[in-house]
Amino acid sequence: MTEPAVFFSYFISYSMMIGFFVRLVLRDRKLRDRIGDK
Amino acid sequence: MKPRLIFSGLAGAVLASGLYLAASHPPDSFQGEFARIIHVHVPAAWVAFLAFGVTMVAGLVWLATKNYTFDHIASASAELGVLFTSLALVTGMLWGDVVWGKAWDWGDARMASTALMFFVYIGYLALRRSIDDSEARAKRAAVLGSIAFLQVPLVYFSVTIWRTLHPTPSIRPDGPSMPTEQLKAMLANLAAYTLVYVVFVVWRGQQSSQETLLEERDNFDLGPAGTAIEPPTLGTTT
Repeated sequence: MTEPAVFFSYFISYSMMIGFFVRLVLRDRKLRDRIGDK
Repeated sequence: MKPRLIFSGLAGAVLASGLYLAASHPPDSFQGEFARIIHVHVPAAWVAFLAFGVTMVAGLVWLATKNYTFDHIASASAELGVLFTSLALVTGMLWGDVVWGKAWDWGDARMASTALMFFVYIGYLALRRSIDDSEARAKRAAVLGSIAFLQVPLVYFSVTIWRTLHPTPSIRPDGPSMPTEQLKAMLANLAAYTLVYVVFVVWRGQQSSQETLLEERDNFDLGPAGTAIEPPTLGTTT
């Protein structure tokens, strides 16, 4: 895991998955706000 | 606790065990430390194939039933397929750079066909965004999703049809071509990435359904067409 290519492969993979997860959570929050508007 | 959080936690735990197995097996006799990249590259490519397959099946089911749940699943699955294809491309380039000495080669059948598949599904997502009418969007996306899926077997078998730079599959019907420790790490990561995909696609699909319902509600509240236009008032022109 100390090789830069190996480290970056795992770093990019987990960053993308965590990024997508955060996007889903934020979108959920936005949807809840829209539902609560009316 | 919400099932969504339970499954997210489970996916995280399986992902962590996959990372542990990938980091702890002995270095490969030929590729050394770089063999560990395969444990993210192969699962990402597998999930991309799975996602595009689900996009096709969900599109076809929409065509047969006109149930918009399947259109939302097709859309969510295509988004994830593009995400995981980009991950497979980037990790493949990192691996190729250190093992082959070159990150990219247009002459390689697997690389070129995967890049083509990536751009076609970017087009699929662009098509969906360009159409406002939900029925027309679902119909055209289902047709494109079905045609685009023809590339998936082409990408998969490209390494056996055209013997270029990319290695042939490590897990074959006659048995795996890798040591047991590496195989365990690979299978754990395949399971982890598949679980992550399932959690994300269900969650994103549910959000798309909610967004559509909210759009319909907002459009309904606008009232009949034309009420927003003020009628002209006589005698006030300058």
